[in-house]
Amino acid sequence: MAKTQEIDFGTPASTAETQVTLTVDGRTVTVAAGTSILRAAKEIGTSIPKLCATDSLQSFGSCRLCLVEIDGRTGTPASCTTPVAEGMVVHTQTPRLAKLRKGVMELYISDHPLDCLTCPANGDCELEDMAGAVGLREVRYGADGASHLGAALDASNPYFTFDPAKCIVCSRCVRACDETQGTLALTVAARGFESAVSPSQSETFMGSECVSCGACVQACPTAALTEKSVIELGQPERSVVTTCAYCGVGCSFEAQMRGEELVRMVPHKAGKANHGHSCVKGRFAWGYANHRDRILKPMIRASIEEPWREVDWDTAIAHTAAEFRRIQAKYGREAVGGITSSRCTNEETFLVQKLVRAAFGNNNVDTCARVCHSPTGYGLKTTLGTSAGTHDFDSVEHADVIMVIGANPTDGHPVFASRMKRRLRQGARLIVLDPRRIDLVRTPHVEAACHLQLRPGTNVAVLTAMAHVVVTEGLVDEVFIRERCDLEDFRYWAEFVARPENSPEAMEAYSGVPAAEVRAAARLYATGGRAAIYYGLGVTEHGQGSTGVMAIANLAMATGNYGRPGCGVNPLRGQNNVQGSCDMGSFPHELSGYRHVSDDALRATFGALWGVTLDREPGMRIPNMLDAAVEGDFKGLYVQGEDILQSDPNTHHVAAGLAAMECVVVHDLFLNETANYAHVFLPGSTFLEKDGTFTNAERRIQRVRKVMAPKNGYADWEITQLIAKALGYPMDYGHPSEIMDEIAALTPTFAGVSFDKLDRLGSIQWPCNDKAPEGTPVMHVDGFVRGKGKFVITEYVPTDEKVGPRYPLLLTTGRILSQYNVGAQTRRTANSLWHEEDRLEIHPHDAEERGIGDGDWVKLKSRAGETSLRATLTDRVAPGVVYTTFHHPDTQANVVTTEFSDWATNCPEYKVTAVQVSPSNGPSDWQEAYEALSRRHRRIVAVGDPA
Amino acid sequence: MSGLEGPEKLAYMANQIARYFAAQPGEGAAQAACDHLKSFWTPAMRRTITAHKGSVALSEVAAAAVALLPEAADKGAA
Amino acid sequence: MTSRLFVPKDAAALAVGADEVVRALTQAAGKAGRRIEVVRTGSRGLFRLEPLVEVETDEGRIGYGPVSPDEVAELVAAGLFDGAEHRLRIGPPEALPFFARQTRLTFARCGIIDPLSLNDYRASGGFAGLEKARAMAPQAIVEAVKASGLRGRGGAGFPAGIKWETVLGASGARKYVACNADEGDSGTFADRMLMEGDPFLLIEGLLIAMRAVGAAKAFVYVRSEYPQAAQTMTEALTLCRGAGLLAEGDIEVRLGAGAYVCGEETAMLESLEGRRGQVRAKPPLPAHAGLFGQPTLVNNVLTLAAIPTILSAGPEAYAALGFGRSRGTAAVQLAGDVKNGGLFETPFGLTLGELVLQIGEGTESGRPIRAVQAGGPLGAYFPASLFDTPFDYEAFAAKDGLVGHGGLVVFNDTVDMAEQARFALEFCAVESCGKCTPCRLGAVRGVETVDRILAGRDPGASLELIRDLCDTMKFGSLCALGGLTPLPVLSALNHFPEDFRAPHEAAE
Repeated sequence: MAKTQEIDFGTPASTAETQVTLTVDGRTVTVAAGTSILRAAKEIGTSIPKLCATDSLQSFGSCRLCLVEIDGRTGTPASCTTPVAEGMVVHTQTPRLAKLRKGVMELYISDHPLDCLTCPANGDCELEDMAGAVGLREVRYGADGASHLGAALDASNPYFTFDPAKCIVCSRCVRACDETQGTLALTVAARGFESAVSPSQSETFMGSECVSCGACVQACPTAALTEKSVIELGQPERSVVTTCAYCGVGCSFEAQMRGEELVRMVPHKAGKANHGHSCVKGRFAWGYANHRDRILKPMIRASIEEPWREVDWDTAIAHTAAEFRRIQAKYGREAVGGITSSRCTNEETFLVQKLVRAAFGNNNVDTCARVCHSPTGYGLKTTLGTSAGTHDFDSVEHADVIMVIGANPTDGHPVFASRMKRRLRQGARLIVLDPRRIDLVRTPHVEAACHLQLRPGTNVAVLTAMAHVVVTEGLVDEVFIRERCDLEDFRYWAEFVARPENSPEAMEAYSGVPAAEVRAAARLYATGGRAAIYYGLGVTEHGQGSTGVMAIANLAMATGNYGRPGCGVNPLRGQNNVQGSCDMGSFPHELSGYRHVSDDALRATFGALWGVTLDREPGMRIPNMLDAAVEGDFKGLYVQGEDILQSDPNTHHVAAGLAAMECVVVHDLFLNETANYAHVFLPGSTFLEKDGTFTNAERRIQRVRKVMAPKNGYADWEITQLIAKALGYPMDYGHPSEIMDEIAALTPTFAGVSFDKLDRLGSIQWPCNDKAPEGTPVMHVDGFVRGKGKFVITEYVPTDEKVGPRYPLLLTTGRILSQYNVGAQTRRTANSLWHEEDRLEIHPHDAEERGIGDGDWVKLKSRAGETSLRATLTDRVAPGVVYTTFHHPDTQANVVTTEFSDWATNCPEYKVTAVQVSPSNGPSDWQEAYEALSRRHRRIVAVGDPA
Repeated sequence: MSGLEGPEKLAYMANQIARYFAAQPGEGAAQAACDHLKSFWTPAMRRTITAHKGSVALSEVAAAAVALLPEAADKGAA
Repeated sequence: MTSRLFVPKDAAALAVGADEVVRALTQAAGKAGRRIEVVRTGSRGLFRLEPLVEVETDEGRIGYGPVSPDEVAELVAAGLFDGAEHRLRIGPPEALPFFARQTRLTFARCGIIDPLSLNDYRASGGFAGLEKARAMAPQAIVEAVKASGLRGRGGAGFPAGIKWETVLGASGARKYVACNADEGDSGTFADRMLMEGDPFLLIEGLLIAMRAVGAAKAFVYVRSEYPQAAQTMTEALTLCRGAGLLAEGDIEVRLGAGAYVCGEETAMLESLEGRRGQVRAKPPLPAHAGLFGQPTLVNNVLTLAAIPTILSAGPEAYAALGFGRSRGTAAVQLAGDVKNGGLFETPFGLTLGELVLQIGEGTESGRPIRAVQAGGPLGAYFPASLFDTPFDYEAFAAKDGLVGHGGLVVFNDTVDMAEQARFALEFCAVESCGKCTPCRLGAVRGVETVDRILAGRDPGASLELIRDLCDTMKFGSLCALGGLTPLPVLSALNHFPEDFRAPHEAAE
């Protein structure tokens, strides 16, 4: 596929600074040295025919259509592989070239089916275009020659087909898999005429290492690789640029439409987060938007034991408002709260927290970031002054050393992982801190220089030990520290980390990482050139999550790794709008822009605009709400776009809290697990059905654009607004852009942001204000936001979640490429073909001791609860450690996770749970009981049905 | 902490907070821990811990931090 | 007294029973109570004499050949160990006109010394060039190579000194020298003979090259069909390593995997990197970004083997030989239906006719020569009317042909030139790497089109089509494989049009 609104320049842009002037067909053009002639010609609008060249891939020179003539040079060089030279005189159209190109096209078409009229790529086929461009009028080779027309179609992938009969062996797919994705799943098998694109060793696509990122389909100039949706629906007729609603990478996509129907999602080349790349989720897993499970009508019920009753919107909204007012009247103003969603837009999130603060009249608002990156907010704000990552994704292209801590980018942030892998293939060195051997440790042409396979829960021990090496071996960047950091804090810190108890040798007892490996990693990080740290929930979701973040910030400060491209400290955000939901004031103690509610002047500003008096005390966090509910003090909750029953720790406790409430309002696409305990269900809209913005992990604000009317009737922001109105608090936004205007007016870091500017610039990285009118790709360039960088003492405190005779193994959790979070979206797509169920990874030794075979059902039990799932035997995990994902409600991995949490933010300690694993014959009693409860609590009586 | 409820749970959390601030340089650990409680805990949580400070196991710094809370003063005043 | 005998262990000699001859000689000596020492040499290069047995006598080495194992007893009885007369006795081999007319620089030791004796090599002037080079600055070595006028012997004839200078001037973390010993042209064997007959010469050339361009590692890419050559090179390298001679850096022998296209330099680099042997687009030139992306000097075996002589005898002496812009000596390889098949080293400039008629002495079969294919399977077929063409890069190119790697394959009057044209296309189809379209699809379409012509199906249009296709392949292909395939096809079409008439048409 290649239909796009964007120009294909044929070869990548050159980054050289020298300029070269040449003449192409009599017209002068000046381009960067190293630019291909093909690209230089396109810069002035001259299209040289081409098939194997596309500007996302290095030039290859195989199709031989882009041949040109150059004065003073013999032959007809390919313009894609020939760089420009000063004074060069190029001719792109001559009789000789015309004859050659026709000759080449004649060969192509002699081995291509002539079914253009019924071909799914008809109208979007570069081969067809080129045949026209070169004026091919006949193919003289006859129909009886050898051909590939009988080659069998591979339809194994659920989202696209590979038809070798239509393949022109341009290798664009192979190169996209190599260069763009970095999986190297494709090759050209055999040689000469027999050359054929082959997934792995002559496997099907589905049977190969292919991760279905779609880069090959995107790169294919013919119908050889085609989306099944295009085959089924036909070519799209218009496209709208929007932002993916999956992970925190924030890929920009073109939603290509036929009328109101989405035909395909195509990564947008101009997207600055993804540069035209995608993963299996954003590219293909959008079918949930039309899934039959989607609820489109509001529903209410008096008790969770009753079936749902469909009602109209007015009734649902009025009922919600009445219930909240009733509860507040009976139990007090503090008895209700709301949870914003990191899946929803900034504008929607802003409105929910505004609803809570202004209409509920308390600060009981929290967001799902509580359970993922709240320690990032605390840790980076404390040390650097801003609750956000320091660099843009592009910065990785300048990194010499990449340190990945507690993150699994190839599964969790695949599009950024591809860029990281590309940089690693170019020679950057890799340090991985992870209890599990993530794919990045050893992937094609990439091997980690150091993999510190630490015991879960010992990040702070290892990071502090690395700091010990940096300080005691004289590897600190003294100039940087003197200029940029608080020296007194540094001296305390240096004295602290240098203590013998913080040495790698001493910490080995806790972490299990050989001291020599820690020393080697520290030396590499400190001396290997520009070093960038990327971390994930493996850092934050710990009792010392915030301390871990600060240990990272310390390490980067000590080595001067801030302010320049190629370094920095960057959290990889789990969800599309974690950054944004935090920015928008979703935490109970902060208003937008991370400003504490106790600031009187700030509250006065907000209060004046909102026409209310705001509470000066912090409100409840999610765990506090649940605790209070269990204790009878919290009775009403509005949850937008989050499934706390499945995603939050200790499911029993969450269920008990929800069951104790009198009005739980779930605002979501599906009857999720939390909805089993809800009294009001407000159907939500998908990202395709509304306008707004998302903010990705690099602080990049990007537009979400409505491509179809909300199937449920209202965009989510409108629903929140209806609730507010029904509560008597006026909200009257006509469009999300007006909400953004209000955000900008109230938030200094967003002061310069508007929808108009976003449309103009494509995206903006905050801070965006008078000082940085077009945003800030890299922060802390000349100085830290807080002034001097603050070194913080990071004493290692072992978690109280300890292994013992009853629970001898440590469970850690994570996610997998094809599924997303609680799976509400991805489980309702063909992505489940890759991951049908959550499995428990266990080391063969531990499995052997317990008599567990690969694929066996096992019981996973902790102090908090137990569940059953099937085991996978693998040495990815060390002995003593087990691992699972939490995508499937049938498994409910969070039944076993505990309520231990980060000391500063109460972010749950998901990553460490002491467990026992034993053979089992199937689902646990709890799972069966929950299954029954789910069935009962999901019953719906349609309007008009005699209930 | 699983199974901990009410005041015991809050005491556990306060001890975690206090331990962090106790490790920081200088003399102000109790005040810093108190500031953290003021910044992040709801008044109700602070009231609960204050009310139960005698019956739950608080570390030295945690106890000092709780004693510095305005709720402690209120209680004293009451 | 011990008699010293010399028997080649060159693959060409082994193929006709050299080992059996040596066994028979040992047996016969035992029976006769004579003590003998058999030195296994390379081949001198006149293959009709193989197995050639030489014996050291007071008048020098006396040759007998071709010797079959069952003639040995008779030869020994006749006094072979003393150089006695016999109908197989050829006298001193160097006195044969085939050898006497040669100017042996590169192949001076071939067939004479024990290829794996460092002493023999040194004693015959070996390492003199290396010693000189080691006393010179890299730039001075490059200057000497430039001054010699040496051109790449792999086929393209690019001036070696300029290539060396480019690699010397290129910046990279490491540099490499890669010796192309993937000698795949039909009718060529010079690289093999040299590696089997005088491996130290190639090693010396490699070491000089490494010093000149600043490379610390070199590879010799030997085609897998040359097991003896690979083994001899490996053993020679082991000896050099043991003697501490590889001061510039290590040299490693790598075996190809049986693809003709890996003789193309960029495909060879891909293969050396462990990838599929697929051609790379140029630029970047290997000299700038070659093996593992580093500056790499890629030279043919014969180019590198000419270097020690250039250094030791001086570039002027080398440049004094030759014709036009083709300086020094050429290793002409005579094959096909030719009486004196073998290697003939001579300064450039003899005419094609002199080479095949005088040196080669015409066909082995006695039939008239109809065509000579010069430069391998992708070289042009020369009819007798072009026998006045001097052996020179430019002169051959002017006749739409190429010198290539120096192979001349002689065809007698029974050859079907349409079949030969078809074969060239078929060869291209079999050996194409499949990267570029003109070669990947064009070769197959070419075979089909020739078949159509021969079947008499619309021959006029098909002849026009094959010429158009040749044009597309010649100017459109990515590398020389597709780009040169039209040469044999067009030369057959142009010089032998009568062979392209369909049978029924010819009968009319």
